[in-house]
Parts: sequence; C-alpha cells; structure tokens
Amino acid sequence: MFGFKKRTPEDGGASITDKAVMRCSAGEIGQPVRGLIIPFAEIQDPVFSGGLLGQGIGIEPEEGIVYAPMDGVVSSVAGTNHAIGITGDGEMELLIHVGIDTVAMNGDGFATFVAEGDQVVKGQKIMEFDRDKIKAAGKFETVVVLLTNSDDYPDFKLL
Amino acid sequence: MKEFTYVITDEVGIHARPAGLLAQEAKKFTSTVMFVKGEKSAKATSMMKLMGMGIKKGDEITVTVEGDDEDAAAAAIEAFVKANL
Repeated sequence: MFGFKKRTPEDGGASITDKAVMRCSAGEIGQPVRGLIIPFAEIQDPVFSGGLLGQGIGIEPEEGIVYAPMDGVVSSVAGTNHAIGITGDGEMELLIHVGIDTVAMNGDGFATFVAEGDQVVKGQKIMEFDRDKIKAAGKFETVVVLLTNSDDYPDFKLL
Repeated sequence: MKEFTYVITDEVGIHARPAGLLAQEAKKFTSTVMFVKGEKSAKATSMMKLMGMGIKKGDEITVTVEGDDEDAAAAAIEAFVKANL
C-alpha cells in the first residue's frame, strides 16, 4: 500500500534471518525478529523515522527473540539490555533497538546472551524480550533495525 | 587541538538516541572529535563506537577536537554534551 512489501513470520528455528532486509556492497542483513516489516517513516520516534541516525526498517514483533542478522562482532550491548550493536563485514555498523523509548524500562523484560567483543554468526539468538512487559510499560514494541553508517554505502538498499 | 572534560549527569548515559544525535553533530565538522573514557576512545562520528564505550552517569569523559574548524567544533560539541548528557 505504501510501496513496501508485507512479510509474514516463518515457522521454526532462526530461518527468519535468511530473509534479507537490507543490502549494500559490504553485504546483506537478514531479518532479526519475526514479525511484520514496517517502513522507517512509520516508526513512532522522530529521531529514527527521520532517518537521521541511518537507514533501516521497523519490525512489529510477533515473538520476543532477536537473532543476529549477519556475522560480526558485538560492538555494544546497552547497559539496559534493550539494544545490541553488531559490526559486520566491511565495517557495517548495525544497531538492533527493541521498542521505542524502552531505555526507560531499565532492563526489566530484556535479556541478552552476548557481550561486547563476542563473535556472532547469522541466526544466533542474541536477545529475548518480554512483549507483555513492554506493552505494560506503555511503550511501542517496534524493533528498530538500523544501519547507523548507511551513508557510507552509496549502493545501500532496503529490500 | 582543543580539549575539555565533562562528567555525565544524564541518568542513562550515552544510549542510542544521544549517541546518534552526537554523531550527527560531529559530522557537521571536518575536525576529528574523539571521546575518551579511561583507556577507551571513540570517534564521535560513529554512533556505534560511542555506544560501545558504555558511558554512564557519573563517568568523566575527555573530548578532544583537532582540525581546521576545531574552535567551532569544540564549542558545538561542548554545547551538545552539556544540553544532552
């Protein structure tokens, strides 16, 4: 309806990450969370939706599990466990941020399974989040998947 | 080179939003802006590297700015830090 593709969740395993959602010369980024892909412009946060911090997608999650969407090294884990950064091939700097303004939840409802400096492989479970707790806190549960340095890749493309 | 120190007062420190906005601010200048905390340092133009420093409330950071527009850049970054962190 707005020129974006609707996606439906898959069954079983981490196969969801086989579905590429972004691509640039440095590589491909898979879908880290099962759910419906929404365009950035629909994310309820002007800082993300404006594209100021880089390009990416939103996901309305159908399951509270985050898988690494590409091979790489964990470059940051938020102290409050709601966001993980991964540096991939060709210096791609990807941020997965679960929920909008969820930093205010102070870690309650979020568990991460990786630490800064860890190697991750595509499809590896890296975080779980409690969808009910996010809703109970009155926050949007949209998962923001953001290539923070998308400006560095002239051929960057959302798929 | 310009340099200043600052103690973080924001409750959650440098998380996604401030890191992203700070990177945008730093990109407006040609000077190299570095954030230093203890042995860790990061270029301010990289949102991810800033977040990776795990800067929290109470941490003292040193910011160094070096380049042709370092006076303007240092002033802008210092103003940003004081207003947001």
